[in-house]
Order: sequence, then C-alpha cells, then structure tokens
Amino acid sequence: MLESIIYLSPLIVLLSSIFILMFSEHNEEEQYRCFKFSKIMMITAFVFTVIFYNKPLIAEVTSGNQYTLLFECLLYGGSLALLYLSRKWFASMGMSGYTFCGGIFVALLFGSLLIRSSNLLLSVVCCVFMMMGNYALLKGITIKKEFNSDRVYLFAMVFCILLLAMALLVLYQYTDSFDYTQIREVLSANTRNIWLFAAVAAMLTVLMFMLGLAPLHFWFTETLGGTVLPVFAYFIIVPICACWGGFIRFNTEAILPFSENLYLFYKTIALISITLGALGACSVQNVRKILAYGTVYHWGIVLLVMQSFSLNAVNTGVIYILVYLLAMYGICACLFGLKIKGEYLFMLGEFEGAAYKRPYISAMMTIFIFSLLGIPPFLGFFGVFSALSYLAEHDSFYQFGYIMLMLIVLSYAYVQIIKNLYFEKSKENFDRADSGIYTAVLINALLMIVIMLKPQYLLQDVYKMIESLFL
Amino acid sequence: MIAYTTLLLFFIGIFSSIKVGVKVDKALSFLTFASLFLVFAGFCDAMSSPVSHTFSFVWNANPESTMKFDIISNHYNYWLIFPCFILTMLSSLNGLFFRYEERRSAYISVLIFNLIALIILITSNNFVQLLSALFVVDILSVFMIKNVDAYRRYMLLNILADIVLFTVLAVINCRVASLDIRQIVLYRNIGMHQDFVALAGLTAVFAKFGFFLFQIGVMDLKKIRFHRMMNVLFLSSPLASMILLLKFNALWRTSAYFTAYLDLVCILTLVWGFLGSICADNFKAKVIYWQMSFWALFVELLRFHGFIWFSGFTFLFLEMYVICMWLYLLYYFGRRRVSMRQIKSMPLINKKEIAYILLMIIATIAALANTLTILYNNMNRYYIWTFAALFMLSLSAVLNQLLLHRNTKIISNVNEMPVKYPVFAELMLLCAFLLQDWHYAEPSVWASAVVFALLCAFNPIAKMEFVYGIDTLQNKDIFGRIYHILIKSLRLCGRFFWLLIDRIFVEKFVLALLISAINNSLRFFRRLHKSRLGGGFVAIVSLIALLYYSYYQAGGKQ
Amino acid sequence: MTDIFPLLLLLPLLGCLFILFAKKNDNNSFHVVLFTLLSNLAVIVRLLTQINRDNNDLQSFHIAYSWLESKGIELVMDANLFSLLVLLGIYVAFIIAVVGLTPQQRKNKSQMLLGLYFVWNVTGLLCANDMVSFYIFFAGMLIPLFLLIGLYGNIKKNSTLYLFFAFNYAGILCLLTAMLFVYKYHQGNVELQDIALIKMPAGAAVVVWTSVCMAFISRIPIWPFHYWISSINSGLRSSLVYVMTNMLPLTGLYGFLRFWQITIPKGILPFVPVVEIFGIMTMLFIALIGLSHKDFLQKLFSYNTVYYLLFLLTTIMLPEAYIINIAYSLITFLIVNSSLTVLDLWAENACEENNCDYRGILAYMPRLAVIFAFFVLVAVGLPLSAMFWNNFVLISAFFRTSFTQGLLMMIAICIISTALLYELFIMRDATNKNPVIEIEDISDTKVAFLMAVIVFLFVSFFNPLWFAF
Repeated sequence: MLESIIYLSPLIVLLSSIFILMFSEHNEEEQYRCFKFSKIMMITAFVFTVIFYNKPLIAEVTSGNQYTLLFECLLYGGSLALLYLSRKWFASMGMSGYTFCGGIFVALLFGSLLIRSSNLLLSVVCCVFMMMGNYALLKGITIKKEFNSDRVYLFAMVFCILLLAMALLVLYQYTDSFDYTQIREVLSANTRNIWLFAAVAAMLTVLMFMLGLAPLHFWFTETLGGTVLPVFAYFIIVPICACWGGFIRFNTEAILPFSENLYLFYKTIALISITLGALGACSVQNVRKILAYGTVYHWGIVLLVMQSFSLNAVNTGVIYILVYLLAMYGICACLFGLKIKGEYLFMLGEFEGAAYKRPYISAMMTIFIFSLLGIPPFLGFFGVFSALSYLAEHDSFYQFGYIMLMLIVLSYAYVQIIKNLYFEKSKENFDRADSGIYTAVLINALLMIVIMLKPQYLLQDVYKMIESLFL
Repeated sequence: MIAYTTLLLFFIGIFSSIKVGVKVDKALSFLTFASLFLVFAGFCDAMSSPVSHTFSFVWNANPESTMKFDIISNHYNYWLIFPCFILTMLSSLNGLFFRYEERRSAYISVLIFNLIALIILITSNNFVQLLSALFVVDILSVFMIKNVDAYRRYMLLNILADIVLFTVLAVINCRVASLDIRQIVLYRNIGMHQDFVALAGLTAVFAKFGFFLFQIGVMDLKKIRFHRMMNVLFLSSPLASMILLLKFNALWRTSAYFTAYLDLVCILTLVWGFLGSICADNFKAKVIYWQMSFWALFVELLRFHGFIWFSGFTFLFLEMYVICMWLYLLYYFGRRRVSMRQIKSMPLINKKEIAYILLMIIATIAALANTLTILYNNMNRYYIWTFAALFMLSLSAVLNQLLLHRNTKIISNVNEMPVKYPVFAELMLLCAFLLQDWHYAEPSVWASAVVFALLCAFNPIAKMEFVYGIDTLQNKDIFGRIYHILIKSLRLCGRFFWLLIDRIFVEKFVLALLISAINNSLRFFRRLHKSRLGGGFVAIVSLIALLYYSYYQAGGKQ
Repeated sequence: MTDIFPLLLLLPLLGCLFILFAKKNDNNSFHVVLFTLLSNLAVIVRLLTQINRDNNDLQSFHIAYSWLESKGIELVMDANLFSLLVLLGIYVAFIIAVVGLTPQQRKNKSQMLLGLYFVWNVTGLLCANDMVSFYIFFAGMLIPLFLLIGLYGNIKKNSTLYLFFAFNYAGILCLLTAMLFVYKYHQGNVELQDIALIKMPAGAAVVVWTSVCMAFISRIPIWPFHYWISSINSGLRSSLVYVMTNMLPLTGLYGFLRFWQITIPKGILPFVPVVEIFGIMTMLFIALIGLSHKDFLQKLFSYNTVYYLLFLLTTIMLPEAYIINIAYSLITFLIVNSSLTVLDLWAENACEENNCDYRGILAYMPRLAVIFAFFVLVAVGLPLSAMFWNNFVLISAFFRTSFTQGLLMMIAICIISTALLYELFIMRDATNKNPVIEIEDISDTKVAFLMAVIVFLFVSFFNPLWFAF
C-alpha cells in the first residue's frame, strides 16, 4: 500500500501543486513566488517520475518503461523550459501567472498519465482533462480577443468529448474492458468490424485533433497564431509530447491489429498535413502561424513514417519528434527574446532588422530554422535523414519525393522569417533581452552541438528506449 | 652563338631599363647603344662562321610531356635574326639623335626586349615557347605604341589572333601528341581538319600582319609618333607573323585552299594599300598603306621561294625600312605636320636637305629594284611588276605633291629645322651597303630609278589632290564600322538571348508557371480556411470519407 | 605525415569562434580571418611539400572519425594532390578577396564570420572522402552564402533571393536523395570513389546518378540553372561575397570530379551528350551575354561561367589523367577571378569617391591599370601563368575527343576574351575626360601584395608547383 502511494508521488506532487495554485492569492506581488513554487514542485515531480519510471502510477491501468520515461522527460523538460522562459513575460505584462502554471501542471499530470496509460478509459479521461486544461489556458490568458480561439476550441472540444464517449461505449460493448491488451485481442478477432473501426477512428480523431494534424488543424493554427507567446510555446511543446506518447502507445499496444485498415488513412492524413502545412506556412504573415503550420507539416512527416508502427518506424518518428522539439524550444526561446516596447512580435514585418539589434538571438533563431529545414550541420539534418532514409528503405519513393517537394515549398515561409530578421532595415528599437533567454538559447545550442558530435545519444540510445515499448 | 647573344641582350635590356634622371639618361642610352653595337659585332662575327648549336633547358617537367626551352643557333636563324637586329640597332641609334623620347634608354630597352622575344620566336622548337614569345612581342608593342586609343583595336586583334593560333596549335597537338614544331610534318599524314588548321592559322597571321580586312589595328597606329609607328610596323607583330608563316607554312600548305586564300588576301591588301596611299591625307596613314602593301608583296615573294628565307629578303626588308626613314625625314622637315595639305602649306626652308632626301629615295628605290630582280622569277614576275608599278606611282605622286604642287597660301615665319647629320650619314651608309652589288644591276634597275625620278616630276595621279579634301573619305573608318557592327550585332545577339531565355523563357514562363501554381494552391488553401465552420465541416466530412475509404480498401485487399 | 592535416579543418572553426567573441566595429575579425587563411595556406603548402610528386599516384592524407557506429557512418577526411591544389587556389583567392575589402567592410563582423564559415565548409568539402561528410559540407555552405547575399547583395526582388535559396536547397535535397539511395543499397557510409562500384538495380542507379548530376548542376550555371546565380551577381559589391558566390560552381565541378573519378556511371551514360550540348550552348550563350553587358563584374561572371563549363566538360569527357591539369588551371583561374573582382571594385570605389566616370578610370590610376591589365591578360589565357599551358593541354585533349565541340568552346572563349579586353580598353580610355583628374591610386601595400600574387602566377607558368617542390 505504502509502496503504491510512493509510486504515486509524482501525481500527488502535481495534483497538490494544482490545488495550491488554485487556492492561493492571485496578485502581482506573488508572481515570483508562484513561478518559483511551480518550478520546485515540477522538479520534484520530475525527480520522482525518473526514480519510479518503471513503476505503475496506478496499478492495473498504467505501466512505465523506458519509452514512457523518454516522453515524460520531454514533457517535463519542455514544461520546465517554458516556465523558465514565461516568468519574465508575465512580469513584463503585469499578468498573473497562476493560471498558466496551473495549466502546465494539469498538462503534466494528465499528460504523464496519458503516456503511461494502458487503459482506454484513463486515456480518454486524460484527453478530456488535457483539452479542458488547454481551454482554460486559452480562456484565461489572452490579451487580444480578435481571434475567438477559445470559442472555436470549446466547440471542437465538445465534439471531441462526444466522439470519445462514443468510442468508449462501442469498445466497451465489444470488450467488456478498457484494458489495451484486452482491446487488442478483441480487435485481432474482429478486424473487419465497422463499429469497432468507427470507435477506434473516433479515438484516433481526437488524438489527431490534439496533435493538430490536418484536416483537424484549424484550431491549432488559428489558436497558435492569435494567442500570447507563453500559450503559443505551451501548445507547440507541452501537450504535443504527451499526445504523441499516448498516440504511439495506443497504436502499438491497443489497435495494432487494425493497422491494415488504417494504413491508407494515416498515409492520406500525413500527406494532407504535409501539403497543408507547407502551403499554409507560405500563405500567412504571422510568424506564429507559420511555425504552427510548419508543425503540421512536420507532424505529417512523423505520421507518414510511423504509419506501420513497427519498431523502426516508431524509432524514426520519435527521432524526428525529438529533433523538432529541440529546434522549437530554441525558436520559442528566441521569440521570448524579441520584443519591441514590451510587445512580443507576431507579424513578419515586426521582425524586420532584428539581427542588427539582437544579433545573437537572431543568429540562433536562424540556426534553429535551418535546423527545421534539415540543413546540415544542424541537428535537424538527423530528423530529415532518419525520416527519408526510412522511406527509401521501404521503397516509398513517391512519398520521399513529395516530402522533398513540400520541404522546398515550406522553406519559402522559413526564408521569409530569416529575410525579415536579416535583410530588412531595422525600424524599431528592440528591447533588451533577459540574460535568461540567452542562457536558454545557449543550453539548447550546446545540446544540439553535443548531439551533433555524438549522434549515438539520439539515434542509438533512443532506439533502446523505444524498444522497451515492443518488449 | 645566339643563346649567348640573347643573354647579353637581356643584360643590356635590364641595364637600359634602369630609371635615371634626364641628363644621365642621355649617357645611358649612348652606353646602351654602344653595348648593343658590340653585341651586334659579335653576332656578325659568329654569323660569318656559324656552328649549329642548341641551347636547351627543361622548362616544365610534366608527367605528360616535358617542355623544353630551346635556342637553336644555325645559319638560317642567324640570317633571320640579322635584319631584326639591324633594325633594332638603327631605331636605337635614331633615338639618340632625335629627341622624340623623354626616356630614351627605357625606349631602347623595350626595343631590346622585343629583339630578344623575336630571337626566341625564331629559334623556338615547341608550341609553348613559340606562343609565349609571340605574346611577349604583342605586349611589348603596347609599350612601343604607348597610346590607349591607338593600341586598343591593334591589341584586340592581335590577342584574338593569338587565341586563334592557340586553337590551331591545340588541334595540331591533339593529333600529333607532341609540342615539337618539327613534328608538324607528321600532321600532314595523320591530321584531320587540315583546311581548318590552314585557314584559321592564316587568318591569325593576316590579322597580325594587318592585311586587308584586318587593317583597322595597324591603321590606328597613325595616331602615334612616327618612329614608334615605324618600329611597330617593322619590328613587332607583322614581323612576328612573318616568322610564324615561315614556321608553319609546311603544315598549312597541305590545304587546297592555302594558296588561293593567301593570294586573295595579298592581292586585296596590295590594291587596298595602293588606294589608301593615294587617297589618305594623313602622311602617316600613307606610310602604313605602303607598308601594308610591302608586307603583302613580301609574303607572296616568300611563297614563290618556298618560304625559305635568304639574304635577298633581308635586303628587301632593310630597303623598305630605309625608304620609310627617308619619308620620316621628309615628315620631320615638314615640321611633323600630319596632313598632306598642311605639309604643302609649309615653306620649304630646308631645301638642300629635301633635295638630298629626294635623291636618296631614288637611290634606295634603285636598290629596291635591284633586290627585286634578285627575287625575280617567272612565277612571281606579275606580282613584282604590279607592286613596283603601284608603289612607285603612289610614292612618286606623294613626293610630287609635296615638292612641286605647293599651295599658294604658304604659312610664313617658320624657322629652319635642325639638320640631323648623323642620321643622314647613317642612312647613306646603309644605302651604300644596300647598293653594294650595284655593279651586277641589270638595265631594268637603272630604268626603274629613272622612271621613278620622272614620275616624281610628272605624275598624273598627283593631281588627285582633291581627294584629301573629301571628309567622308578621310574620316570614314569603313572597316572600323564593320567591326563595330559585328561586335554590336554580337552584343545584340547576347542581349536578345538574355531577353529570350533569361527573361522570357525562364523568368516569365518557367518561374511564372511555378509561382502561379504555388499561388493557386495558396489561394485554394486560403479559400478552404476562410470560413472556420465551413472548413471544419469539410474537414470532418472528408475525414469520415477517408476513414471509410481506408477501411474499404483494406477490406478489398483482404 | 598527417600531423598537421586536421589543422586545415580546425583553424577556420577556431577562427569563427574568435570572431564570434570579437568586438563589433573593429578590425579584429578581419585580422582573425586573414591570420586563419594565411595559416591554413601555410598548412596546405606544407602538405604539398610532403607529397611525392615523382609517384604518379595521388598520395593522400587521411583521418577518420567514427560518427555513428550503429548506422555504419564513419566520416573520412582525405586530402590528395588535387584537392590540396584546388584548396591552395581557393585560399589565395580568399586572401585576395579579404585584402580587397574596404575599411568599412573589414569592420563588418558578420561578413567575416560567415565568410570564414564558408571557407571551412569549402575546405571540408574538398577534404571529404565519404558520402555523408561530403553532403554535410556541400549543404553547409548554402547558409553563409545565402545570408551574405541577402545582406550585401543589394537584391531588390524578394523572389530572386528565394529562388537562389530554392535552387540550391533543391540541389542539396537531390544529393541527399542520392546519399540515401546509396545508403539503402550499401547499408552504411561509402567512400566517394566506391560509389560507382555499389551494386544496385538499374532504376535505382538512374535515380542516384541523376540526383547527383542535378545536385551538382544546380551549383553550376548551366542552362537553365544559370538563372539564379546570374540574377544575384549584379548587385554584389563586396569582394568577399562575390568571390564566395563564384566559388559555388567550383563545388559542383568538384563534385563531378570526385564522383566520376573512375568513369561515367552507366546509369546516366545516355544523358551525357545532353549535358555536353547544354554545356556548350550555355558557354556560347553566356559568352554572348557577357559581351552585351556593360558592367565589368557581369562580364567577369560570364567569364567564370564559360571557364567553369569548360572545366566541367573536360571533367566529363576527358580521362582521369587530365585531373592535375584541371587543378593547375583552376588555381590560376580562382586567383585571377578574385584579383579582377577586387581590382574592379577598387576602381568602382575610386569612381564613387571622386564622383567621376567609370570609363577611363584606369587612365588616372596607372598602377592599378598595369595590374588590372596583367590579370585580364592572364584571364584570357595568354602565356603568363600555369593556366595557359594547362588549358592548352586540356583543349588539345578536347579536340581529340570532339573537334566540333572543341571549336565551339574556343569560339565561346574568344567571345568572352573579347568582352574582357574590350572592357579593359574602355576602362583605360582617357578620351572621355573625367572631371576629376587627381584620383588616388592604390596604396604601396596593395601594390606590393598584388605584385606578390603576380610573381606567384608568373613563376607558376614555368613550374606550377615551384613553392612546394
């Protein structure tokens, strides 16, 4: 019993943090303490998570292994970085950070549960709570109301909850259990059952919605394009780690027998995401939207690579996700470092001449963007190399060519950012960036350099961690 | 031996090129000339009893082929170098007496280096050495001309001729696989594209000579000083091209078009030279035209003697130089006026000297006629007659115009020009040397001198003075315009291609097509995303359709 | 023997680090670049002295780094006589370009940093002996070049800049395709000379070799790929950036040289005549465009293109034995190209400073005029440097292969030589009187520096490797 409670310690820490933040006094003077408290609690939870990574949080419905550890590390790492970067933002805006910190804790709590979940009901609950957390963030932290993103999200969330309920009902009808293993067995026996397929599809649709894959990307790009920077960074880093973790696990542990049915679905979704991501990025002038569409493109590649959910496929996909996340952390850090008269930047035109005023941040942002394009010697090269290498291995030549074509299209959007950073004359005075931003960027850069010099950390060690999922 | 002479010349050239003050410069130039004279004496001594000897060192040791630098001393080369040497000496000597150079010694050093380049050219045994020497001659001509406006077209033509020659030699080398000039005989047996080799090679040589169609380069030399012009005409590219002709004729003669092409261009040059010398108002231009026709005759005579150089050609060469020197003195006493009309307006103050020059020209013409009789044979007699007739006619007409048909409006208050007695003495000595075998002269030689004297007195062509006043004739550079149009049309062609391919095809078509494809995609994309509700509905419907299709497809497979 | 070889790659990186922390608006970064380039030049010369020239084999210096064992990727850096010679030319060209910068440009830290980073990439590319490292350096040089062109290229149209990036990026992706296909069939990294030996299905071979060709052709301004490079050249007014831009085709050319070291792969044998025809047509076309342009740098660009295509066609059509001739020729070509760029920019600056006409500028700057004339004459291939003799050998060999193509090639060379000479005479033409007669000529230091370059080139006419053997 005591053992079980100890294993639950990360959850307890996170849950208690949420409650403390909910009931504490929300005033500006407490800002600093709020972030400090969140940081301490998060580190504590993270330490417990790492220590008890292979122990079940809740017996029967969760299980941990190196794979879950990997995604949890990403989740915590991203959250900590976000917390570190956002503190100044809230201070400069004079806004309360309690909702934000609470939202991150909710995402961490249900995200880590989703990653570890081996039970459909738990996964559904996690998804619902994560969506609610997201909504709370969107609703609670906004400056401009011109986008109505929260309302769109609410509408979509209700629709998703309905889908999840339907999925639960149908699957329970057939399996009498929510356990992934049980579901897998039932699905193996009923691969051509349309109701089961519909239920699985409903669950997948919700997960893909949360990931922002096309054609369910509307909320993702719209929301990210209009929201404040910390929330943007949150959406682009935190829930995504949890969702990918849960999505991969759900596919490999629960619905693998349906892979044949879903093959074309995944492929088409991936190709649509790649197309719409690349084209979308080119069609907008909002940098955050560009990055959001870029994310859709990259998730398209990940899905295209992972469609068979074999060990190698998942490994390649995860490598791509890792590389993407590292670059995105960097870009977000840079975005936190660029502001004019206290205002953080949205549109391309606002970035004009940033390189003359903030050369180091601009240089790093450029490096991270080139990394996203997969140009060596930056880390992104490994992502592109792994993904394309995998496709070539499996004779997916058309997909290989299509990715390249769309990468060239996408490059236009990224080049626009660089062009504005470097090739336009500076009209505005950029504010001084906090030293913390430089530290964050530097740490990110060092991490990339280390991985570039010793890529086995990324390619070999990750493979070993992913392997645990298939044991 | 020649290598030794070349080395000495090199040191003298270096010595002479030392930058010194004006006073020291005079002494230095005298000293240079004295050294040059001593070297020449040694050269003549070696020439009288030549021993064949080859000086050789490895220039470039390449695994592909070893390239050597050779200076071959033999009788033939001595005789070929001899006129070049004499002319260099005479030019240097004249430089001492006429103050036409600010830095005489430097100018003499240019002449000496030019002579070295000519020696290397004459004695070369491989293509690379030959082309290198040829190029040095071209570059030194820039220093001789020293006027951008004058050498622009001259150099352009020469360098292009060098590139053409480079091509020709590359073609030969690709077949013979040897850089040795002596191996070109093999090309006659194994070579392909012999017509190309001959025609391209000859064209390059003609361009360097400044023959018809390519005369624009040498015609620009009228813009420079007279002595420099003479040096370029006698010692620079035309002479180098003659050496090329001597070296490569064996190869080019294998083409059936060789003779026809050579004859055609030489005849046209001869005629053009004659017409030009009659019509040109510019005295220097007249000299260039005479020189042009002289080179045409020279090439033809060489052809009739199997392109083998012998003393007759040396004499012919020197005689032409001496005539030019006399003409220079006429120009000098005409106060260095360029226009014929202006010279005629000047009072004849140095009457004695001018009468003396006239006599000496007649004497030199006699020597020239004498040499032509030596070079005369049944095959070339028409050429010799034609040239002699045209040359005498035009030269006498000019002399007639200058000395007898004086203008009424004579400019007065002109001082007498200082007489350069040493130059007179030098030229007289040279005339004497040229007339040394006078006792063998045939009656026709006597007759030609008399005819020339008579023509100087009564010349119908001399009355064509009115042509000097026709501005269109004097100022219109027809060939210059042709070249200009050629270059312009090439430039237009380039512009057209640029517009057609870069702008219209690539930019307006290919890129525009790509950009419009992307723009259309983006437009579609934006339309799709315009309405969130509509877009969302479309997304959900398409997702359901896709899911069903995926399921259906998988079923089909099973 | 290989002791100092790694320095070639380390020094530019160290230099970059120094510049990163150098003061802004100071000459420090300029000095670091110059020192790095000179040091590496010394290393190259030292390595060249260690090569046994009597032995015809291209002896090499070799280092390997096990990068990714699980995937069988070992990075192999290998410098042989050819790559060292080309590197020598590149470094001298860069030194000239750096010296040619104006005092304001020398203080520009970003230009110096990106320039040195580009040099590092070029050095890496020429030393890379395996597919992965070759790809990394091949792709890596796009970033500094793109940034520098964007910063100092005076490009008015947004699309031009993007097209430049897109063309090059597409080239990079083509090489990546080839690399991944090779990787698929070889299951690991492969040394460049062994690529042709890998057994793969005919279709895959076509994909690999077509991708390789497209990757390298994207760097060489062969029609219709010439557009991107010609469109960005017009506005460049920094000698360093101009030299860098003109160095890009060299990487494509070098790629062909390395990949087709043994023979043309069977997969693309039928396409070779097409490349030849396009190459020669482009030569003629670009030469004519060069003649029609009024800007010297545009003419120089056309000249570069014509010569790069000459080298490319020589690479494709001639046997391997001529590789050293190409290298000797390339050294002079690179140096002359860089020198002419610098000299022209000096002349243009003098015009700007004195508010006078470009036409006839050299008549007022006699020292610059002499040096300029020398380099133009070397450029047109006259016997003043190693280029003359080696071009003679190459063109001669080309005539042996195909007379018509050789002839067309020579016509293109003739046209472009006319263009350069014509421009030289225009620049020297004093008839068009400038309002300002007193124009300051180039300084003694610059004259001394350029005279040293001239001596270097001239002595190479007699012995191309006089400094090493």
